Amino acid sequence: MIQLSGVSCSYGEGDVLAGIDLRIGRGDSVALIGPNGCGKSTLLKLLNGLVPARAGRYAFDGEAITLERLRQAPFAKRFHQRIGFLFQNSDAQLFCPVVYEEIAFGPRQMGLPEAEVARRVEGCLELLGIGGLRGRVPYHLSGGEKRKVALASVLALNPEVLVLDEPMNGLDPRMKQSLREIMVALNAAGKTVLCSTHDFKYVEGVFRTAVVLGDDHRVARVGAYPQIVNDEAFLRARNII
Amino acid sequence: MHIPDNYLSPATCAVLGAAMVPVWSVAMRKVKAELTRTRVPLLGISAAFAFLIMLFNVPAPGGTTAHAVGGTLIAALLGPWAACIAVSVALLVQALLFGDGGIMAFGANCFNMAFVIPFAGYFVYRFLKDRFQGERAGLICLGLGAYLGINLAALCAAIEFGIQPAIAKDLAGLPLYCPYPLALAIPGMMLPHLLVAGFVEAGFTVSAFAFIRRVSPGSVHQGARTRIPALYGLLGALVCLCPLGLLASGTAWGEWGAGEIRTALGNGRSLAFVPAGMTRGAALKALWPDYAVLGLPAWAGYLWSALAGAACLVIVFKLLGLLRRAGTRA
Amino acid sequence: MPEMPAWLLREERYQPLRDQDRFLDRSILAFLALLARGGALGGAPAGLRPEAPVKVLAALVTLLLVALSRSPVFVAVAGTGLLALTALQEGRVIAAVLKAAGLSGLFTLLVMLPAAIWGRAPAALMITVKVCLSTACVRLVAASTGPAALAEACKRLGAPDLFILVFDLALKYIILLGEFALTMLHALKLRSVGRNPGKTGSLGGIAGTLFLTSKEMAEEMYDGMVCRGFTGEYRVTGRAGLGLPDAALGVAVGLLAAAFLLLRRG
Repeated sequence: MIQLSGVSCSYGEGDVLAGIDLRIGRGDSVALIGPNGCGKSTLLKLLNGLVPARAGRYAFDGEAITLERLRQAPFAKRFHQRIGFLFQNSDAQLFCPVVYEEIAFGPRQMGLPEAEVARRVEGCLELLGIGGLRGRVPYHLSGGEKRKVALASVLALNPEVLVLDEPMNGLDPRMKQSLREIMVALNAAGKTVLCSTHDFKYVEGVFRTAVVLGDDHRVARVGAYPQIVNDEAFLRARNII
Repeated sequence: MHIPDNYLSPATCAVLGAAMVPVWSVAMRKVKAELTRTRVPLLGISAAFAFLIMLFNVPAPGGTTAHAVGGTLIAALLGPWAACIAVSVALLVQALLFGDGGIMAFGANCFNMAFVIPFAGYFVYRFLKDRFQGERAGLICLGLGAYLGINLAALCAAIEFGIQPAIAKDLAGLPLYCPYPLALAIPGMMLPHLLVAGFVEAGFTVSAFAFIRRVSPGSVHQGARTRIPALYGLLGALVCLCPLGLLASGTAWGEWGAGEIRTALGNGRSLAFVPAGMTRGAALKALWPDYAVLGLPAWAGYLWSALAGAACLVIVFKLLGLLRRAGTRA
Repeated sequence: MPEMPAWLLREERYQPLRDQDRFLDRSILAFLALLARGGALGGAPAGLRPEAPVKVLAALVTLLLVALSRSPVFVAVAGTGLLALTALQEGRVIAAVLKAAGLSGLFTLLVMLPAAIWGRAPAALMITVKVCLSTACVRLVAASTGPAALAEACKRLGAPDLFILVFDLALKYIILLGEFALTMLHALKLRSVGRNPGKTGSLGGIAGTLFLTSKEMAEEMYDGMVCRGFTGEYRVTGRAGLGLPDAALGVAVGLLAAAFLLLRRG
């Protein structure tokens, strides 16, 4: 589904990502692990077409994703519908005055009839357990509520791939549990889930694969999630714990 | 609308800079009185906000994009005095660190964008809003204020440009700074603003304000009901600008006298005749023909006439208003 | 755990229409350019160079003389002086100065083109050259001086303390709020998967959120300042001491002024 070959990325001087080789299959659930500053967020942004690669090749479902292709509006829009991104900062992801509008934004753009839009919005609200927030103002919600509304607004697009940037940050334990269940359910329903996280305790049983990025901005190790997360010596050596 | 250096003569820059000094002093004083606790952080961060607003590309009619200035928006949110300071600091950062707008022309740019836009826009908005009820009406008033504000600023900039060929010439009579006279500068500046930029500014201002008012109504500046003197101030300014008419040579299009019409039309070729109605038709003996008053110099005559004319009009409208109110009460 | 809605289990068959979001792409580019330039708002290079207030004063005098001058020879002299000063800077500064001068010159040339065709060519050319020099002069000062030093220079040239603090804060928060705005624009871009009839509305939402966030930040910052002993007064300390580079620059500007007076036409 997602294939990166030798991808490098830089901001000014120095590489933020160097020679990344990555393969994620349809339906996978992958955790992206690494110390602060290793380039996790940049990698996720690159996968969503926000940041261009300096070198290497990025293929999504067999199609090359390049700056030129993303300049063609219909292609870019279809791409953004197929891969959804939950930003680390939920405040920045909400720009509508009412929660209902926020979640309806995507489906309305897709040209769906209003009845279908309503069905999707209600479906997302129920799935995430935030039905009571329907008429509220996103700006005034708590951190966890904002995260759920942002996730709902992304899910409403019905993407095939869901990318989450440290979704557990700043949530209380109950919210973390709730989010964990949602991620498991989404993956079970066939969505490919890719998530960067520090919070190993709360994501037990969510991910099958783990990708570890090192301080050198390269892929340090790829393997089964339980193996990697329990290898304390390895994690300590990589400054992850 | 950022004016670079060397488009305006140093004299023009100095005059506009000098005009801004009292505005800034009063703004500082007013801000100290109104925003007590958070004023330093709020002003600094509002200046950053003002700077960033000018970066947004806003969709414009016709499928293009344009930049907004946001002066009226910030005035509606923080009050006009705080807006003046915020936009001035934003313009300073743009001029010093990003090369957007000249250093010597800083006074002129502040006059246009940190004074005219916030104040004209704000006063038009409040003046209209206090007379119409309803949230929707308030937004329309804000849009009108923003539209008029930016167009008035464009007019000021056009005048600043347009008078350069007249006031700064070298020995050969060639212009030293902006070479385009009023006849070119005014349409050149006003047309894009009247047709495109004004609507972009209005649309952006209204949509941002509507969002803020819906999400956090307490964040909006609650100003006092506008006092009428502001309108007099505007009238006064217009009166003072009248003598500019003297700079335009010749007679305004269509206002020719019988003798002038013979030579006026047709690119220097004269009209071979004078329309009969003009020689034999109605003749109105004006009180002060050609705005000349008792042998005073032309500019004084203009000012006097403008003042008198404006005063007469205001009196007439007030009397009409009085009659209408008496009529409705009866 | 509630069950998955049926539509979430199906694959989406969606073909977007041709609808451009040029305003969004251009806004994103503008913010990216700002944040890239943000490096320039960072620290200043140290070393043997004139103090910031002297540089600012020198620049102001030069700008005034160039603006007032009617002599092409003087303008050439001033240009040569600026070129020499530019040559003394490091590579990145030189690139910035030349780029700024070039762009502004090109833009002015375009604006002056009608006038040139109309018969005012010498005036148009003179103005274009002057604009190049003025831009180069300002960029030279800006690129070789850190923002902190610039703020101090304003202080020493008589600006009130309140203004200095506001200016300083503005610089810091342009970057912080700029990053936040960019993230919001990215978020909007990622969710603009079709035709958005309310483009200005979405932009208004972003601008509105930016304002509210900035207000919150201001209140937090005030609380932070109070916790660190801020009582409502603001004092900015300035360092004293002028050295050789300042004298050299002073002499250069003096020579320029002399050249101006000598080359004045009546």
